[in-house]
Amino acid sequence: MAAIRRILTFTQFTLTEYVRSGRIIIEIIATMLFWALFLRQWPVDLNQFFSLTGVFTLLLSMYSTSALLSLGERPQGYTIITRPLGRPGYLLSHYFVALIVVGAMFLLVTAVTLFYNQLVFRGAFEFPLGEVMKGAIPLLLNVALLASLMVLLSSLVLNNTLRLLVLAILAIALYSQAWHLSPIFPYIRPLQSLFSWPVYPAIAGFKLATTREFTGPALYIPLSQLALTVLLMSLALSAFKRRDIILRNQ
Amino acid sequence: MSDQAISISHLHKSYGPLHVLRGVELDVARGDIFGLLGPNGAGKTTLTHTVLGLLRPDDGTVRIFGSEDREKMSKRIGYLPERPRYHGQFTGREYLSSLGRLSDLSGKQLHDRIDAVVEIVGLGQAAERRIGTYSKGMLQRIGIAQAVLHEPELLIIDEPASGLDPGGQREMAMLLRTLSDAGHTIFLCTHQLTDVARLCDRIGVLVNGRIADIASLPELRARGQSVTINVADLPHDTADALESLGPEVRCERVSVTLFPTSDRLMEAVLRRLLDDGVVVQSVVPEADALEHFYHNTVHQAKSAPAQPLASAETSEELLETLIEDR
Repeated sequence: MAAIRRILTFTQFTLTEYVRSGRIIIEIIATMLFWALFLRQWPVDLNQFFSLTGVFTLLLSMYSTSALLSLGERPQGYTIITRPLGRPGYLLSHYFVALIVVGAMFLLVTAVTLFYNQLVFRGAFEFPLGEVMKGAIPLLLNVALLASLMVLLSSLVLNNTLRLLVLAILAIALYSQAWHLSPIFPYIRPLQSLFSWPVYPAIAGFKLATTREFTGPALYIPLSQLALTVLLMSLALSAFKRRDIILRNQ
Repeated sequence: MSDQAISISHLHKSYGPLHVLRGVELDVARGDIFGLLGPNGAGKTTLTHTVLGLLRPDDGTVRIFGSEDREKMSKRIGYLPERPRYHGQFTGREYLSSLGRLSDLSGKQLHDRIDAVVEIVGLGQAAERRIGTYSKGMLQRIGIAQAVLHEPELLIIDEPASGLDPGGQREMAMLLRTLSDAGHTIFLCTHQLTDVARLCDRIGVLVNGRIADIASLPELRARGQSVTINVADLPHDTADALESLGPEVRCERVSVTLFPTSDRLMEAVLRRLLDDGVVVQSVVPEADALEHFYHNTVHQAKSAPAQPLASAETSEELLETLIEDR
């Protein structure tokens, strides 16, 4: 219980700093720019809305997680990590702040789109709250999943060699047609079968957000997204616990 | 319950091929003010960070109050880093409040402790201002305040006088003395001999990744007085002849140091210098036993066949360069 209270305290602390320092303005501007370019010009239905915001929130999640982890790499962190919050609490708090920031931007773009749809397009498409929620769950779980991968790949957590290794695995998993032309494709194929399975929850989650059809096996998709997120964060926490902490002097 | 606040045994730490700590053995008793001295690049920051659990030892053990579990002990440790960098977006009071809650203080207890430490470190009204507006002296004060906020039994302090003017340095020394009187064990990492002379009960000198010597100030005074004879130029033959008089004589290019000195030794050295036609410029009795202890220990340790550790100005800079290799 004390550990949770400390994590909440530091999450609030980091979020306050992020907002007060004005860094969050970048996310707000990016969100409003995205809305103005893709959602303001013409009425969009829920499928279009979730396929567009699904991609945008993933990109935003990459940026926000990187920005927050770079804050965590400042020497200011020494006086925090050496307190009872410890290493796991330090890393988790930064991760949670990234999720809160991206979640807030998703809420912002949803609210603006809903409002604009009613006001200008006179409710051309319906946005029932239940349907929005059904799309938001897999979308936000994908955000959590990608953010956990970003945490694992940060220089705070893994050294350069291990980061390259994880990136190589990702490259194999996310193969494209170009691989087929490569002479090493027959050798990579078995590896790809092995490594590509963790990518399925993310892809299936993206599809589920756009279709919002929670029937049959689709019910397991959010669970697999969550399980993969927990697995990646556990790996990150375990690696961070073993790491020498050398924070940058800026 | 262990009598030692810090107990380090056979500690080794390397960064890749660079072997920084090479078998450190050190005990710091509860209630002591221990000063860790050493030249730049000796491994002081690496040792401090290893004690704090920020760096993982390659070999050996670090026990805090008898325990190797650093996270369990973190409530009992306060840390003031070398470079005072804190979260500038918060006021001093907000910052202390958040850090207090991270150390499980809350409610009236937290409020009272903040008031007390603001008073102790003399932050005054500055506690209501944003940390980003603080001067270096103020940053050191907020640093001390956060370090002692949760009333830790052990304070680990890295270069407390760094960036302070002489008045600030004196105030800092008085503050640390007050904390020591209140029962804190203080582990002071510095290369300022004046800090150590003002404060410390015991002194250790870290050279080439090892503790080369440990002594207390009374012990140093008891070891005797030293004298430095400054000369225009000391020929090799004369230097060899002088050093053959005994281990008390140490020759450098333009000086001869006698420690401990005696009338007979002084007479023999001066006679030899005059006989060899060496111009004696001055004879300076070194009042500061600590200074002699430090320079002598570093000189002897560096004379030992060991590789220099780093060309970086400070260990912290060394760490910075290593970040790029992570």
